[in-house]
Amino acid sequence: MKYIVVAVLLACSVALGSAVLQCEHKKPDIPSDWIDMVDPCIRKMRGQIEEELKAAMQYMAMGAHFSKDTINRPGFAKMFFEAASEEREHAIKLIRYLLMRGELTSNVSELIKRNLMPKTTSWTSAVSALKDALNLETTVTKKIREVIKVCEDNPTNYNDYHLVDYLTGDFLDEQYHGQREIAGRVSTLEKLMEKHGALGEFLFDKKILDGAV
Amino acid sequence: MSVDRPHQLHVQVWRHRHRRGVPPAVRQPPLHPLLEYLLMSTHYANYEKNRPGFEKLFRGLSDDTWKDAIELIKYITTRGGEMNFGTSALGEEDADAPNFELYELQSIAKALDMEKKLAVEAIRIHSEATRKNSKFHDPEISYHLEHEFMPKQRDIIRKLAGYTTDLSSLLDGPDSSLSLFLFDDYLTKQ
Repeated sequence: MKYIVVAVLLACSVALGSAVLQCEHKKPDIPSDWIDMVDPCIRKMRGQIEEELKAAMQYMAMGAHFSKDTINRPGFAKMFFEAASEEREHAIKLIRYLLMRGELTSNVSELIKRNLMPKTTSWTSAVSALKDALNLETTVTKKIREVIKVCEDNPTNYNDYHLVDYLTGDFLDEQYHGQREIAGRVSTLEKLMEKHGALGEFLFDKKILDGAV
Repeated sequence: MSVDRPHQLHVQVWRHRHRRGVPPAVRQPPLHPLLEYLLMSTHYANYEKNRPGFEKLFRGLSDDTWKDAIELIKYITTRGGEMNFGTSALGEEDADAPNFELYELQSIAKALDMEKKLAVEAIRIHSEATRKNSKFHDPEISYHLEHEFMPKQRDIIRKLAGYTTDLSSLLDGPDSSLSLFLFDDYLTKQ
């Protein structure tokens, strides 16, 4: 299957008689002064993209776990699969932001360096998964705060007002609202399960599935 | 009915790059097609490349692969199986560091390769489910592959193959730079 790529590479690099398949074109001469993001901040932002994708994969593992016939919690599965897609969207938002600021013109292939495979893939109960989710969100929030700190105050003395505003107003806002929602669910579910463990989780799952809680 | 069999389906989406024989220091972390397409799309969205059509094409492939992955996990669980994160079945990839910053025609060829690999793997699973393995016959999996997976895969492969034909002839012309601009513009409208 690699042959096609190899064939194209060859075709692109070798002149075939008089006809040349031209893949490479003149590099445009664009002034670069408008690109004003500084290195420590860019590095942090690139790292955050990985963080968000990692969270996405972790949520996907939660969705997979609650989909199993031996677990059978379609409400929680739905909730976690949706959370996975949301985290992926966050990563895409950060990528789009960097692109807007003139970044990511190189080393895109190295954007994802770590193994993003989820570490945990099974949970003893829905409550424990919800608690893990809350902790996961808290970690992401902390990391965003670290990005903000570095982009506001760094050795280059360049305060990236616009990015900091974007992360504070947009990302942190969503994080705090999300965390409150999960914390509320942990609370309700744990209270429900105090006397009626199995029934509590069963009912709560159906409520989530119907979008009622 | 075997509950193990559906596990194999995951390999269509969850490709894991094992690089046996390569020293650990230069071994690349695993990447999924989900993320590969995302990186290819990102490359075309930078201000230097500035090809919104190609960005849209790869972003669309990335979105579809993501949705398909979730659907596939759900399907595996409908068969009493469970998703196996972190295993590979598509074998070794090339030992070079993955590169997603390619010229236009190369990137389409790479996408075509990736999609063909998925199709080949699905065909392998299908043949095992239907006849190859005498102890195992699974009409439901063959139905699922025939009706859900294959038609989509056929269309994606055909579309990408068509693009490589067009681009190959366009880039062979007198003004390939203008051709690329027009082809990119065409892609934004797809």
